[in-house]
Amino acid sequence: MLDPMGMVEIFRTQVGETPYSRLNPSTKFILFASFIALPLISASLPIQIFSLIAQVPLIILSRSERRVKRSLKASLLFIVVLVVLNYLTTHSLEFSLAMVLRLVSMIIASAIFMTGTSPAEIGDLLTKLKVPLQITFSFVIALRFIPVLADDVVMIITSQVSRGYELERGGFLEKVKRLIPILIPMIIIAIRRGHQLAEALETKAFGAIERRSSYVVYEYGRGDWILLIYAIIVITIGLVVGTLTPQFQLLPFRC
Amino acid sequence: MIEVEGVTFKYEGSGMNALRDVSLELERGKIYGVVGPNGSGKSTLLRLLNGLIPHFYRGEMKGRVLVDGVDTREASVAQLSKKVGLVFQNPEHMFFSETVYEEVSFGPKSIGMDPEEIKESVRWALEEVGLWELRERSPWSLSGGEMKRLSIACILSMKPEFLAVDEPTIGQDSLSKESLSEIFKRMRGEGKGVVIVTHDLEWLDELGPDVVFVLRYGVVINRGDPKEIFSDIRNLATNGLIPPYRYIVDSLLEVG
Ligand SMILES: Nc1ncnc2c1ncn2[C@@H]1O[C@H](COP(=O)(O)OP(=O)(O)OP(=O)(O)O)[C@@H](O)[C@H]1O
Ligand SMILES: [Mg+2]
Repeated sequence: MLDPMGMVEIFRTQVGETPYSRLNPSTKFILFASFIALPLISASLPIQIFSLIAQVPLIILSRSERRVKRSLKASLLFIVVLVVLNYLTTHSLEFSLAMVLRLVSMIIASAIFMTGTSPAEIGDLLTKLKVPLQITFSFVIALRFIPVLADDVVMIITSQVSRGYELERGGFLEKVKRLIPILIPMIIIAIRRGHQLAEALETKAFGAIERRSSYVVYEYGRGDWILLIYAIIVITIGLVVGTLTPQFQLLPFRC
Repeated sequence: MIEVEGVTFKYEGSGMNALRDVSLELERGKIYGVVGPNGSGKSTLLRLLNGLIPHFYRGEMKGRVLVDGVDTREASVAQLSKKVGLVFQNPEHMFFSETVYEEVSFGPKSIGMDPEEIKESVRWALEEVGLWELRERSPWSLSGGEMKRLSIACILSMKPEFLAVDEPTIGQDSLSKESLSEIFKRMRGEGKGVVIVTHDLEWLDELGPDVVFVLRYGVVINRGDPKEIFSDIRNLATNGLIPPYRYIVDSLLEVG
């Protein structure tokens, strides 16, 4: 079953506060960076499985269980297709599985971070790290765009089905073709949003001064320390597991 | 007839009910106005009518909605779209065709109208909203007000029995507003049921609905004859609604 609304669910705007969203932004960023790095330590399957399991506490703290579950369920078909395609090129089921799990676990890490951290928090954080304003801003905007676009996708799909359109008809190829009335508005809306934003920024004299002023102070609480320690433990385990010799050669299809 | 029976709905992930124990009946040949402050559940109510809730929005739903006796749970949105046409608040979400003409024919094609009938109804719908001359243009090249009217034509062309429109007057100049009123009145005259969600009570008053529902926090707090509802100025004002001008004048005269 093709359920694009379910697939984007994980990136949709989160309503309300969660224990995760209340963390210090730098903690959230470090956790995010750790969980992006973890699956990259090695291509082995154990590492990928470990990265997924290690994220469970974060999923719970960010109250994303349902959204993650729905998105995974909705993406199952794509996941299977990816594994199969991977298998056809690499002839290693374990490698294919590992690659797809890596993708899934990085997507979950990004989704938890994006939906649980306000763009303003991320902006302040990057500014503190002395990242140039232009880069910070582009990054923040990109992050801000994703949940907005996910919400747009929902509106687009419901608009089209209200016009009698059936997404679910036909075989796999037909179903993919049936996404056109969903994809075109999405692309156009994304481009238009970009233009509007550029205009809005110019009218507000963005970039006129080098350093923008900021007055928010973030504090460190007990939860922050606990999760930082958790990140260190997880990465350490990852490094240990990662140095164990993999059961298969890296990128075997190149041999 | 559309019957909404004791519907309570909470969106997944939301802590609050968007609708609470809402019951109402919508008949053919009548215009219904739905008013209320932001977030009061007006759009949610419309999503119930063609089955988007519960088919496309996750959440907890109690009660039921019957469209000509058929429970919306038992029919697909595509099937229901032949009976209940829903025009969204934001028209941009639907456009994907190269021309206005093609855009309007998308709905009729989806529900399997035959080609001759499609031609006829597309022309009729575009003339109704005054966009026939612009049929070769790209939907994206239209102004905001024209886009809104195009989105109405996209639904009109499907010839639904009920038409539900979310905020039709946003971005419309007074001339277009008048022509929208004409369209909705003509539909009522043809025996169609029309449901209008709006903040623009001045325009709604001119349109002359048969029944008005006032929503607040997902509850229908007031319903009935528009005259009675509009003259209760205090009630409207506390719900963030600006009463039609002539009712304000009347009440001032009464006090004086
Ligand atoms: N997709 C959604 N997911 C979660 N909550 C939602 C969703 N859509 C609406 N809500 C919530 O449901 C409530 C009713 O929203 P609704 O859009 O029906 O209000 P409305 O009366 O149409 O408001 P407006 O005048 O702003 O259009 C609001 O509290 C809103 O935040
Ligand atoms: Mg609304």
